[in-house]
This record gives sequence, structure tokens and C-alpha cells, in this order.
Amino acid sequence: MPVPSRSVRLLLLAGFATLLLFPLFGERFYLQLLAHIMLMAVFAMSLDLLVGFAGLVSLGHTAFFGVGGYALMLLTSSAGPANLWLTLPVALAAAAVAAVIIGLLVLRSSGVYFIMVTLAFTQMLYYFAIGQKWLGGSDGAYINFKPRAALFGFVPFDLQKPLHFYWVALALMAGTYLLLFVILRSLFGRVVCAIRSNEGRLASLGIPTFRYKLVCFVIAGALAGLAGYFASAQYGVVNPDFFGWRLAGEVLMIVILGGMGTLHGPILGAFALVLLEDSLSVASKHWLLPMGLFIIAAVLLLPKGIAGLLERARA
Amino acid sequence: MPEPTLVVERLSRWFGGLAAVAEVSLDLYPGEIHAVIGPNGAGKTTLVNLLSGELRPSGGSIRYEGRELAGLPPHRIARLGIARSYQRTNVFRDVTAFENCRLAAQARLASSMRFFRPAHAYRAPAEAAERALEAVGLDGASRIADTLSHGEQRQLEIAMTLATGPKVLFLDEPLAGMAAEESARMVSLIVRLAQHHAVLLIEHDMEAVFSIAHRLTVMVNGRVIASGAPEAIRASTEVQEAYLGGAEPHA
Repeated sequence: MPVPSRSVRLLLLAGFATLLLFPLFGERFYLQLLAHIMLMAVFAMSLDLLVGFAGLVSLGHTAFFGVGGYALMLLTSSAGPANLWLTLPVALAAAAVAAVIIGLLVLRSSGVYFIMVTLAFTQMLYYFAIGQKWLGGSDGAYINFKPRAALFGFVPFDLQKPLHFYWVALALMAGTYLLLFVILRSLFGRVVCAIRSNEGRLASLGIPTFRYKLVCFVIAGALAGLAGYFASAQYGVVNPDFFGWRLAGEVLMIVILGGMGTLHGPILGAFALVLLEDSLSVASKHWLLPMGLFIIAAVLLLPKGIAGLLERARA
Repeated sequence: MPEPTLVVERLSRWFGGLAAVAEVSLDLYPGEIHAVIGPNGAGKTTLVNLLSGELRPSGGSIRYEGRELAGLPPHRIARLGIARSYQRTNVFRDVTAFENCRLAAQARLASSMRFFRPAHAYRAPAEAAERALEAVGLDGASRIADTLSHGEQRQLEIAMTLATGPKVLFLDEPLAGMAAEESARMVSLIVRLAQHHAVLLIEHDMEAVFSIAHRLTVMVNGRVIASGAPEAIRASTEVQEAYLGGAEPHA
């Protein structure tokens, strides 16, 4: 795994410190937006594990984001909040099981076919969600209560409070980064990176590549489910767009814009893309046009994304 | 007489109506260099692809230490102690030469489903990689594979097969495109390897083949037309005719 250079590491650390201190000086209004961005960063990092490290370009990663979100909705009763420590593992397990089932089918294909079948699966879930009354149909369903983090009477944080939610989102982003960092430098991680480089040779050396791709797919799916769970908790709603190809495309765009094959790239991409969308959509109702032009320019001028730009600026 | 390590019987592979490999039988003893030669399109590389599991045989058997290999996937065959090199360099281009060999050695660990301990903390694969690089005499272990010269990449190709700690080596044209000096070094390496491995050698360089092979098998149009000691093959009129109407064998 390419390790960022020293100056880039310092820059990232400074960014993290800024996020840590932001609630002290920043406007509270921005806490929600930043929390949203950090959850998108978790989602994007999980996709980058597939796209940038294993070389599996998925357009259907929303399937697991959606399962995480819908799981929270189903586990939250209308009477009161669900317990975080009970429902989060269930939601993650649901996303992981979905990833096993979908992975067993889609990982038999590769290249363009892989892109198409992953898209097909999330579209299936999209239309399934639209058609099912118990899932809220096309309007989706409300989650009236954010999950409570009570642990034997002790409540370490309260997701109802925007500040607490912000801390949790920051911890999730940092935790996902560290988890993937550790996984990528392990024996498993070396295999994953070699799959992108030359899967056939890996098999001829004695590695059964399929099961490594499947485990990778499941880890990525579970992390996407984590992002989906907290995103639905934040908005208090789930709807079929959680599975939609627009979101799948957006998160892929975040990964590409930020820089595939690095862990900080998706984080930088999430901040860049969401903040830009946010400011453009405030400035003009025709914001999609400059947005599109920006994305085209970014892809043309920054082949290795923002992360690549930082490394170049250093050199 | 020792038992053969590998026994191939009537191995065939059809592509539509074309028999790329037709009822090929050969065997391989420990410590032996058995060369397979033949003109372009004779089916030599297809034969290696069948033996290493990259292609499924249409018929016939491959027995290795009493076990049937035909139909097994490549990773299973590799794990039994059979390693192959490729005619066209087939390495992990974006990582160092060392990492290429370390990955090859890692492939022999019981499992790579290890998620937390850093890969560099495992000593055995790193040591095997260093030994393999030293054996082929490749300097520049820390260079990215893509930046190595053609000859160095060929050396890396062989080093990777060695790093897996195999008993049997299938070398598919290890000398292809090498300069004379590199080629001589590779030839002496293959001779040294044969002391501890059974080597099936596919090679175009006839001078090298006849100087180091203990036995030769000659393939033409997917079939074996002759098999035996180098002197016998050199004297065979059938073999000479197969090569451009009686010219000196080249491939």
C-alpha cells in the first residue's frame, strides 16, 4: 500500500486536529454537514477497498449502505429508540450477509461485466424497496428515534445531540481509516493488492483468489452498512434512493476524485465533492452544470485525484 | 531406479476440432532436466498450461506423487509443490522485485487470511524471497518490477517460482530474449536447480537444451514424435525432417 509522504501525513493530521477542534469555534449549523461528509468518507473508504486496492470497480456498493439503513428502520419500533449496541451488530451482519450472497454471484465476473452486475443487484434492491409496503415503498420510511447508546444504564453519548453525533461520525471515520490501514498491511491486504495487479499469477503461485475477493467484498459491504446505518440515523429516514445508482455513482466519484488506492483520498474526495455540491447548489439552481464541468476537469487534470495532487505538490 | 515424480499419460486438449495437445505421454524424475522442444505451434505452452491447471485437459491423466492432477485448479496444483514460470513475463508490475518474491513465498503459508499482524512481521516469506533473489543473482530487490530490464524481469520470473519452495519446476522458455551473458548465467542456474528439483524445460535455445537436458521430448502439431536422450534425438531423422525439412533443429 502506498504510504503518504511525511508532509502529506502532517497535513492529514492537521486536518484531523481541525475537525477535532471544529466544535469549539465552528458554527453549529455545520456540524450536521460535516457529520454527513464524514459518514460519506466511511462509505467511500469502504468502496475504495474494492476499487482502488482489489481492483473491483463496483457500481452497486449502495446495496450494503441501503441494507444498513433499512436494517435500522426495521429495528426501530414506533414506541421508542432502539438500542445502538444491539441494532448496530445486527445491521452490520445484515450488510455482511447481503455481501456474501451478492459477492458469491458477482465475483465470478470481472471488468465491465462486474460493473454491470453489481449495478444490477443494487437496482434490484432499489425496485424491491419501492415495491414493499413494509419497507415504506417509494416514499421510504421514517426513523422517529435515533438509536440510544445505553450500555447497562450508562450512556456514553447521545446521538440526538448534533455535537455528539459529530464526535461519533469523526470516530467512525478515524476508526475505519485505522482498521483498513491495519488490514491492508496484513498478509490479507498484500493478497488483496496483488489481486488488482495480477490475479492469474497469484493463483498460479497457490493463492485461491476467489475466497480472498469474497472476504474483501464482505468487509467492504459491512463498512458500507455501517455508513448506511448512521446516515439513516442522521436523516431520520430511509428511502429507495439509499440503493439508487445516483448515490452509487456519487460515492464512486468521491473515490476517483479523492484518489483511488489511498485511504486518505476518499476522505479528501468526500469533503471536496460534498462541500462543492453544497456551495454550488446554494449559489445557483443550475448548479449541476458547473458541478459536471468541475468533475470532468478534475478527472482530466488529476488522474490520481486530490491525493495524487498533494504528493505532486510536495515534489 | 527411483519412482518418477510426475507421470503424464495420453494427455489431450482440443480447441474445437484442433488438437493442440494430442495424447502426450511423458514422465519426469527427481533431479532430472526433461526438455520439451518443437516448432512454434507444437503445443508446448499448452502442455504447460494443462500441467499447471490453467487449462483443463480434454482427456488423459497427470499423476504426481500418486495423486491425480488433471482437473485441479492452478492454486491447488501450486500448493502441492509444483511451480511454473511464464514465457511472457508475468509478475506484479507495480511492486518491488522483493515484494514479488515475498508474495510468492507467502502463497505457501497455510493461509493468508490474517488480518492484523503486519505482513512484514512474518520472517519466513521474507527470508525465502531473499534466498530466491540471491539464487537467480538479481540485484535491485528494492526496484519496482516494471522498471527492471527484460533480462532482470526474466530472472525475477524464475525467482518467484523458486520462492514458493517447489519440488517440481515447469520453466517455459526461461532464456527467451536474454542476452548471451544473462543466458549463460540462467543455464548454470537451471543445472544447479536440477540437483534439488525435477525440471520440465521448454526452450527454444537448442544449444542450451542439448547441453543441459538429460532427456528430450519432441513435439510437432501437438503430438510427441520422439523422446529420449539428447544424442538419440540429435541422430533421429524423423526429428530432423520435422524441423524445416532436415535442417538443424531449432524451434
